[in-house]
Amino acid sequence: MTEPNKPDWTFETAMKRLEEIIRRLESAELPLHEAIEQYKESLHLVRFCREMLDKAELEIEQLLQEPPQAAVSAQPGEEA
Amino acid sequence: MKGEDGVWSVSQLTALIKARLESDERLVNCWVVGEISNFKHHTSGHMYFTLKDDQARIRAVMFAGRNRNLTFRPEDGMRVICRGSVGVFERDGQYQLYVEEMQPDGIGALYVAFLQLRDRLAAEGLFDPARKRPLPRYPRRIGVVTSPTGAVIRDICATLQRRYPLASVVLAPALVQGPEAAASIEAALQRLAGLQGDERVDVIIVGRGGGSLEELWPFNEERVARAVAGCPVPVVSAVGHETDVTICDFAADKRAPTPTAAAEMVAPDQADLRVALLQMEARARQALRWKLDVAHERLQRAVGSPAWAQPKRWLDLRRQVVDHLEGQARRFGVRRVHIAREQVNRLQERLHRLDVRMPVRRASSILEQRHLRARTLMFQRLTQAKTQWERVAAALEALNPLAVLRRGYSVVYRADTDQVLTSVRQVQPGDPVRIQFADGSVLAKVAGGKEDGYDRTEQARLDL
Repeated sequence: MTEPNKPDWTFETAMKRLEEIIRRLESAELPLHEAIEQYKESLHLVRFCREMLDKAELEIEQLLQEPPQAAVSAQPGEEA
Repeated sequence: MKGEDGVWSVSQLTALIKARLESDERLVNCWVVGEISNFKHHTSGHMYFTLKDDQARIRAVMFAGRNRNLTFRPEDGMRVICRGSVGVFERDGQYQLYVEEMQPDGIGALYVAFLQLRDRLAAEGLFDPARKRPLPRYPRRIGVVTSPTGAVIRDICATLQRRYPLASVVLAPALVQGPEAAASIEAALQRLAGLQGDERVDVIIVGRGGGSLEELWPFNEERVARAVAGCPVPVVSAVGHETDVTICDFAADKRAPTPTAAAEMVAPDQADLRVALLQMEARARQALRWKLDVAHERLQRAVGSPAWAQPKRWLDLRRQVVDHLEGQARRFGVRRVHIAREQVNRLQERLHRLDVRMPVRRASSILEQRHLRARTLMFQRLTQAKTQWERVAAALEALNPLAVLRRGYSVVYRADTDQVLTSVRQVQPGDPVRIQFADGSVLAKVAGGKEDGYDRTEQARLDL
């Protein structure tokens, strides 16, 4: 079972995994003991996604007006 | 084509003029500016009018299929810019402009430039629907190209904070009006597109607020259109108000009427996501519940089978049989049953740990075998013992003195001493004696007697 609380898990990977698990759970051929494992993982993932939403704060960062290595010709005077 | 006598028919001449005019590329898809007069909107939907300036006039027609999308109502005296081709209407001997597109003049050259660039880039395939890329579902980082001080970035951030605060906004500041704006927008796009690894942006919004056509002009420049179309990351264009359309809008993967709408377009709403999470939670639970129900039902069916309905009782019954056999066997010293019993106990323990039917079957068959063997063994011992006993009994029967008495012999005791009399010399006449028969005894007195020949008597005693 994959552990969703690892730092490299994103909301997207968690949601995709969750959707995949639900699809598998709903398929008839999954044996019971695996279904139980998958169900546990789905609970983890739902909790993980909810916590992410609860804790989220929009981050805003600003790139420099012109990067130092810019090949773009500097625009004279027009820095508003 | 010409008649025999060198004279044209009217039709021939008209056809020649028509062919001549319509083959001139300059007269195909040309732009004309002029004033409308004699405007008629026919019931068929077609528009008939004359375009004129102070020195000339030309008849014009705009068919219903073309004028349906006009954003204004043409009328006499209005100055307009038309795009169309010159053709000849043979019946009336008229050349006229077949108008494809018409805009009120006043915006003049800029507007024509806009239309021409749009058509050129469209012909090049830059706006093809096939080029449009889908937007990511859950963007991690959202790039924004706009003025750092404008309302656009504020609206976008406010919308994302409310709907999808999971994302980061990466602002690439750009000038959004003035002669340097196009280059600035292009550079900002390139800087965002150049971010790699963890810094990579998943989608870019290019935007600015509403303004005049001149103010929006940078977004109609070719380099911006090409930068947008060539951007490796999907781009949403949100320029001006809903009614403003720019080349940038055509080149982008999606057009949003406002910056707020652009923010709504690039990210899902957390309210929807929370509902989706609830639904998935419920679906997972239901799926598992269903699987458990099915498994439970199967188990019930298995447990419901007669031999397995009460496994404990079934086992106890067999244990009782074994106990009973053991009790019997112990008497005959059959140790083997002991061993069998221990095995049964061990099997039973194992059975308790297992919850599948097969081992039970196997154990029960082993148990059955042991039972059978123990019984066979016991019967053997019993038969042996019986045979032995019968032999001993027969021997004993042969030695039983009572059996001799039954054949007519009797035993004589002295009545006073209970001594068995084996000789006539042991009694005198008048002595009391007891005579024992097979079925009882009598008391008697010796009346008299005589001794047989010494030797014979002695001999007879020795024979006995």
